[in-house]
Amino acid sequence: MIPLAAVLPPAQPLMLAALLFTIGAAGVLLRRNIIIVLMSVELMLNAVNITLVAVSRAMLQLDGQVFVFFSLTIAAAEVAVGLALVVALHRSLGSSDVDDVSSLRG
Amino acid sequence: MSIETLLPWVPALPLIGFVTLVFFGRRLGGRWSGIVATVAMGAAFAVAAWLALGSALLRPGWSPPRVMGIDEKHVVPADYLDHPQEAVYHSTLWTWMTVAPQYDLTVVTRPVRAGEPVPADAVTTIRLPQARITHDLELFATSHRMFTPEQAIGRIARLDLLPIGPDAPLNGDRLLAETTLLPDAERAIPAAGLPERPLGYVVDVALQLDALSLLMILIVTGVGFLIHLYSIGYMAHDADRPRYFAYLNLFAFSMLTLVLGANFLVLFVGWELVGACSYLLIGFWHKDPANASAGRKAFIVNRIGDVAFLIAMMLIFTTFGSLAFADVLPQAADPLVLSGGVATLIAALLLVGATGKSAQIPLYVWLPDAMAGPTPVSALIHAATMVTAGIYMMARAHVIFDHAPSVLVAVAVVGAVTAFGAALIALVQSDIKRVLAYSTVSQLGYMFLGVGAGAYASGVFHLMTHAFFKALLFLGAGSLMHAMEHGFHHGKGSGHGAASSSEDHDDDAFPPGPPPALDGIPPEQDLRHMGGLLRKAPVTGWTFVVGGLALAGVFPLAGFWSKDEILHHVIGRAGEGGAIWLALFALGLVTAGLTAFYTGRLLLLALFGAPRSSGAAHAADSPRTMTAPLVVLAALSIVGGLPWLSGPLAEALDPVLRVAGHVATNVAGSAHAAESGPSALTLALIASAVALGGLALAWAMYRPGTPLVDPARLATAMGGAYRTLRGKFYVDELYAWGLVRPFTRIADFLWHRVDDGVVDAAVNAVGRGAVALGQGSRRWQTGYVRTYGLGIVIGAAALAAWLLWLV
Amino acid sequence: MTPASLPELLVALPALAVVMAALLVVLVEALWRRTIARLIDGIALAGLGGAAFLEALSLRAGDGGPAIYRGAAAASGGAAAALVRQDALAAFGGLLILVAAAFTVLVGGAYVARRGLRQAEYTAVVLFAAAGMLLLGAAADLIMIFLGVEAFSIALYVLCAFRSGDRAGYEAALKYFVLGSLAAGFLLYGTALVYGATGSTELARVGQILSGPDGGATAGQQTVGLAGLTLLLVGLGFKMALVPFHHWAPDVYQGAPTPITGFMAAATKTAATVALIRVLWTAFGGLSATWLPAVAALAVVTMVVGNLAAIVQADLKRMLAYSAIAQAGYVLVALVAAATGGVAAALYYLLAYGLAKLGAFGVLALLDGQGGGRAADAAANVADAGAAGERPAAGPRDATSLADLAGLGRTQPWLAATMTICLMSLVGLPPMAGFLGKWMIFQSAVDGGWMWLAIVLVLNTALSAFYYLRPIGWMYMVEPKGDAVPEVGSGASFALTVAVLGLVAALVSGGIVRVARAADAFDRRPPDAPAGLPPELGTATPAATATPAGTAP
Repeated sequence: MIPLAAVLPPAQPLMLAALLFTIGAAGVLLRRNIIIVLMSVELMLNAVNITLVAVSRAMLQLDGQVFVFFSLTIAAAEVAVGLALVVALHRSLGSSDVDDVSSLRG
Repeated sequence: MSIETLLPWVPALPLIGFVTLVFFGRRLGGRWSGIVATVAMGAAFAVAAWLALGSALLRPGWSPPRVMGIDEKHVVPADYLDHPQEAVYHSTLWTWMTVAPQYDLTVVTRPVRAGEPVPADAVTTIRLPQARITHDLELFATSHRMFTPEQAIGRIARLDLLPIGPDAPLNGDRLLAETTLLPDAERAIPAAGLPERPLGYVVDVALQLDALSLLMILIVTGVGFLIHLYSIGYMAHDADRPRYFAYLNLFAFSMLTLVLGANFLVLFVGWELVGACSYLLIGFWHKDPANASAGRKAFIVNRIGDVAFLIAMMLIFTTFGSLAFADVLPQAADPLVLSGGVATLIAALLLVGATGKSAQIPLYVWLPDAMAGPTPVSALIHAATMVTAGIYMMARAHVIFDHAPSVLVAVAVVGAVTAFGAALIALVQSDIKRVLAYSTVSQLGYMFLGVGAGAYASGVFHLMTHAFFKALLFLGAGSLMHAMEHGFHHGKGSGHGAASSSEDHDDDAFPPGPPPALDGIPPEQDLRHMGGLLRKAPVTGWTFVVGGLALAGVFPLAGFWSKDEILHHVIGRAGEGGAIWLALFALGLVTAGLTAFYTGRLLLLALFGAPRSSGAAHAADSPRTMTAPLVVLAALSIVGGLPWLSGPLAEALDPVLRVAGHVATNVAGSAHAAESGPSALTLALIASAVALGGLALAWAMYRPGTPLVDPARLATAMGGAYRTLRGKFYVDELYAWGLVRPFTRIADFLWHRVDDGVVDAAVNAVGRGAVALGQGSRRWQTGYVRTYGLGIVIGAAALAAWLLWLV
Repeated sequence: MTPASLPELLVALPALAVVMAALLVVLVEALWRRTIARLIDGIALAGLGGAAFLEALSLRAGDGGPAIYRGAAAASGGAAAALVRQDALAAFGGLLILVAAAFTVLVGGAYVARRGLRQAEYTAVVLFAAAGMLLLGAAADLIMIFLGVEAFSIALYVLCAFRSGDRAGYEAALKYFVLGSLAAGFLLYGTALVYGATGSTELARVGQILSGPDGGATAGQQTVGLAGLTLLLVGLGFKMALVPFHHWAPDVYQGAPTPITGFMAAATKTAATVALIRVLWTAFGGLSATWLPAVAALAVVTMVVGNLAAIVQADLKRMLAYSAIAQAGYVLVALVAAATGGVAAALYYLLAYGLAKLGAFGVLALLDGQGGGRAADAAANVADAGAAGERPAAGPRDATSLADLAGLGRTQPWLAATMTICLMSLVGLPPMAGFLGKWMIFQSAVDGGWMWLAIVLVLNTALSAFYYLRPIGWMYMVEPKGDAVPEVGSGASFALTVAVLGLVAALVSGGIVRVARAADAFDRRPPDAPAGLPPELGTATPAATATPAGTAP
C-alpha cells in the first residue's frame, strides 16, 4: 500500500506543464488563424498530459499514465472534428480567421 | 355523505367548461360556446347555493365546542382558532408536494419527577415538520420561565393538534426526543436528541369551506354567472367568442381556487392564475402589441406584489412549519409562537401583496388601464372579484395582522388615502369606464380601511355589496355603450330614411355616425356624448340609477349599510383616542361625499338631459340576455344590505373573522365601537347627509337643462351669457371656485403628475433600468471567440483568486 | 486492469444500449441505402427506451448502487475505485437525458428531413451524445467526467454544424468547439491537479482524503485541491453556461439547429449539473466552507446577467439562451443549499426546466420554415441582418424571431398553448412545474440559511417575467402574417404532448419529488452543518434520505 498523504512530485515537470498550458491558452486567446488555435488547444491538453505523467511517476502509480492515453485519444477525435469544421467553414466563408466568424453577437 | 363533499365541484365545473371550450370551442361556435360556459357557471352557482343552504357552517347560532384553554392569561377563545376542524370543512384532493422533512417527536405530556421512570401514559408521539421542531424545542429550552409545568403541558397538547401526513405510519415510531421536567419542576427542556428520520411534510391540494369562503364562492359564482349570461349578448358579434368564454371560465376556476384553497400555496396558485387570466382578457381586443402594454403593465405591477407575497409565504413556512390555514392560523393566534417582529414583517409583506392585487397606492396604476378589456371582464375581474382577492387574503390571514397593529394602521392609511385620491380623480373623468375604474380603486380603499380598523367582517361585507353594485354599474355602462353604438350605427345607416322615428325631433341636430374621439376616448363611452339615455334605454337606465345610488351610499341600498359599517368601526377606533383614526374617519367621510358627487355627475350626464350625439339620440335598449342580469343585480344592490342587518351573515362570519381575545387590544374597534363612538343612528344620519349632499351638489351642477360645461371652464366662461340663470350660476361658480376647482386641480395633479409622472414613471424606470443594464451586458457579447475565451480565463483567474487567496 | 465482470458491465448497460442503437441506425442506413424514417425512429426509441428502463430500475439503488471498478483493490487504499456508479442520482439524471434525447430524435427527424439532410446520421450522432451524457451523469471518477464531457461535446460540435452550408450553424459549431476545447483543457488540468494533491481521481476517495477522518490532508494538499476545484468549476461551469463562462451559449444556441438547441439546453445542463453535484459534494464537500461563498456569488452573477441580457433580445432563440443561463443560476442556488434538500430541488427543477425548454424549442423547431423570406424580421436582430441575405438556400430558415410567433394562437392553437405552458413554467408561475421547482429551491436555500440568496432568486424570477411575456403577447395579441400553416408530424406532436403532460404531471405528483429526494442519496462528504440547524439535521445520511420510490401514492 502506498502512503497517499502524497509527496508532491518534483517541481520542474509541473512548472514546465504550467508554462506550456499558459502558452496554449494564450495561443487560443491571441492567434486568429483557426489552425493555430487548434494547435494551441492541443498544446494545452499535452501540458496536462505532462502533469499527469509526472504526478503518476512521483506516486509510483500507473493510473495517471493510463489517463494520458485516454486524453490523447480524445484529443485526436477532437482535432478530427475540428479540422472538418475548419474545412467546412473555409468553404462557406473563404477565410480561416476566427475573427471573421462573428456574425452572431449581442 | 355530507353535503360538503360536493365542494370540489364548485371549481371543477368552470374548469370542465374551460376544457370543453379549449377542445371543442371552435366546433361549437360562438353562440354555443357562450351557452356552455354559462351553464357551467350556473351549475357551479347552484352547487354553491346548495352548500350555503344545506351546510351547517353558515347556520346562525352555531357555537363551537370549547375545549382548550392554556391558562387564563393566554386564553384563546375556543372557536375556529382552536378547532379549525369544527368550523371548516376540508377536502383534500391530492398530495401536492413534499416541502420539508417532518419528524416524529416524543414528548412527555404531564409533570414527571426527574429521575423517575416516565409512565407510558404520560408520553405521546407527535409529528412535526423540521422547521417547527427547532423552533419549539428552542422555545422549551430558552423560555422556560414562561411556563409552569401546566402551561408546558397545554402547549404540547396544542402541538398535538397538528395534522399528520396522510400516509405516515402512526404506530411503532421511534422515541426521538424526550421532554422532561427538571427537579424544580419549573423548567421544561428537551432531554434527548433530535429526531433521526425525516418523513416529509406535505402540502396538499386541498379545499376548505367555511363561512368566509362560502360567501366568496357565492359571490364569484353568482355574479360570475350573471356576467357570463350578459356576455352572451354583449359579445354576440365578436368572432372570437370561444376564446373569450374559455378565458372567462378559466378565470372563474382560478378565482374559486383562490378563495377555496386550504393553504397559502393553493391560494397563491389561484392568485397567479387570476392574474394570468386578467392579463389575457385585458389584451383580448388588442391585436397590436403596442396596445397590449396595458396587460403587461397589469402583469408586471402584480408581480411586484407577488414577490412580497412569496417572501411572506416563506417566512410563514419557516415560522409555523406549515402553509395550511388550519395549522398556521391557530398557531398564529398564540403570542408565544408568533412574536411581534415576525408578525409585523409577514403582515407587511402580505400587505404589499394585497396592494398589488387590489390596486392600492402605490400599485394601483394598472387597474384604470385594465379597462381596455371587454366591459363584462371589467365587471367580473376588475370590479367584483379578482381585485378583492387582496381583501380576502388579509381577512383570511387576519390572525397574523392582529399581531401587527402597526401594519393594520398602515393598511387603514393606504386604504383611506387611496379611497380619497381615486375618488378625486374620478371627479374629472369623461370616460364612463374610467370613472367606474377609479371608483373601484376608491371603494377597494374603503375595504382596506375597514380591514385596517380591525373590522374584517365589515370589509368583507363591503366587498360583497360592492360586487353587486359595481358589477351592475359596469354591466350597465357596457349596456349603455352598446346602446350608443347602436345609435351611431342607426344614425349612419338610415340617415333621414323612414326609420327616423317621429319622436326624435333632434334627429337632425347631429351628423350621422360617431363623432371623432375626444382625448382618445371612444365616443360610445364618452360621457360628453351621452345624455338622455334613461328614456332611450329604460331598463339599463333605471338599473344603472339603482347601482349609482347604491354606490353613493343612499339609504337603504346595499352600499349604505356596508359603508356605514366601516365608518362606524373607524370612528370606534378614534374613540379610543387615536388622532389618526379621527383623521381617517374624516377622510372616509369626505370620500363618501365625493363618491356621491361623482356618481351623481355620472348618472346625470349619462342618463338625463338631452342627447348630445346621434348615438344617444338613437340609442336602443340592449337585448334581454343583457338586461336580465342587470335587473337581478339591481335587486341585489337594493336588498344586499339586509343579510347584514338581520345578523346571520355577521354571525356566520364571526368564528372565522373574530379577533382573538388576547390581542383584542390591538384591534379593539369592533369591540368598543358602540360604547365610545357616536351612536349608530347618528353616524347613519351623518353618512346619509353627506351622500345626499354630494348628490345634491352634482344635481346643482349637472342637472338637465344646464349646458354641458366643464366645471373648471365654467368659472372663466362666466359672463352675461346666462343672466337668467344667474342665481343658479352663482352657486355653481361658488362651488366651482370654492370646492370643485381646487379639487379639480388636485385631481388633475394626482392624475397627470403623480399617476403618470411618478408612479408610472417609477414602474417604467425599473423597466428602463433593467433594459439599460441588459444592453450594457450585451456589449460583452462581441461575437468574437477570442473575447469569450478571455472571459473564461478571467473568470477562472477570479475564481482562483477567491478560493486560494481571499479565503 | 482486471477484466470487468459481467455484473459490472451491467452498470454501463444504459449507455451501451444507446450506443448500440446508434450503431444499428448507421448500419440500417448503410444497408438499405435509403432513409426509412420510421425504422430509424423506432430503433432509436427502442434503444433509448431500453436504457430508460434500466435507469428506472436503478432509481431505487439507494446510496451505493453497482459500480464499475478499476485496478486492484489495494491500489487505492483498500477499497476498489469506482469509475462509474449507477446510483439513484445517475438514474434520475439519466432519465432526463434519455427523455431529452428521444424528444430530439422525434422533433429533429422531420426538421432534418425537410432540409434534405441524412436523418440516420443525425439520429446516430444524437444518440452518441446522449451516451456521453449518460456516462457523465454516472461518472464516479474525474477521468470519467472528462471522458463523458468530451464524448458528448464532440458529438454536439458535429450536430451544431449539421445544416450543410449554413453559416450560422458553422459559426456556432466553431465557437462551441474552440471555447469547448479551452474549457476541456481547464477540466483536464483540474483533474490532474486534484490527482496530484490526493493521488486519486475517484471522487469519493478524493473526498475522504481532503476531509475525511483517515485522510488528514495537509494545507498544501488542500490548496492544490482547491486550485483543481477552480479549474473543474470552470470546465463544468462552461457546460452549464455559468457566468462568466457563458459567452458561447447565446451564439451557439442561436446558430445551432433548433432541435439541437433544445437538446443542449435540457440534456447538457442536466449531465453537467449532476457531475458538478458530485464534484462539489462528493469530492469537495469537506471544504465546502471555503468554496460555498464563491459558488453562491457565481449563482448570483449568473442569474442577474442571464435575466438582464434576456430582456433586450429580439431573437427568440437567443432570448431563451439567456434564460437558460439564468436558469443555470437557479440550479446553482440549489447546489449551494445541497445540505438542506437542495439536490432534490435541483433535480426536480432540472426536470421541470428541461421539459419546458424542450417544449419551447420544440415548438420553434416545428415552426421551421415560417421564417422564410422575412428579411424584415431577420433585421430585428442587427447582427444577423447581414448574414440573412447571403445565406445559401439550405432549406427553410429557422423560426427564431418574435414575429415568427405572430398570431400563433390563431393559426396553431396547440403549438401556441404548448409554448405558453412552457414559458409560464419557465417564469415559475404556479401551478406549473417550474413554480414547484423554484419553490423547492427557495425552501432549501432558506432552510440552509441562505436567505439572501433565496431573495435574490425571487427578485430574479420577477425580473424574468419581463421577457417571458413578450412571446405570449405575440402569439395571442398579434394578427398572423402569413397563412402558411406548418405541418406537424405525428412523432413531433406526440413528443410535444409528452412534454406538456410531463409538466402537468409534475404538478400533480408528490411522487416525482419523492424520487428526486431519493436521488439525493448519493455518496457525499458531510458538509459543515448549515446555520440555524442542529448538526444532526444538517447531515442527511444516505440511508436516512432514501425513501423508496415505490411508496409514492
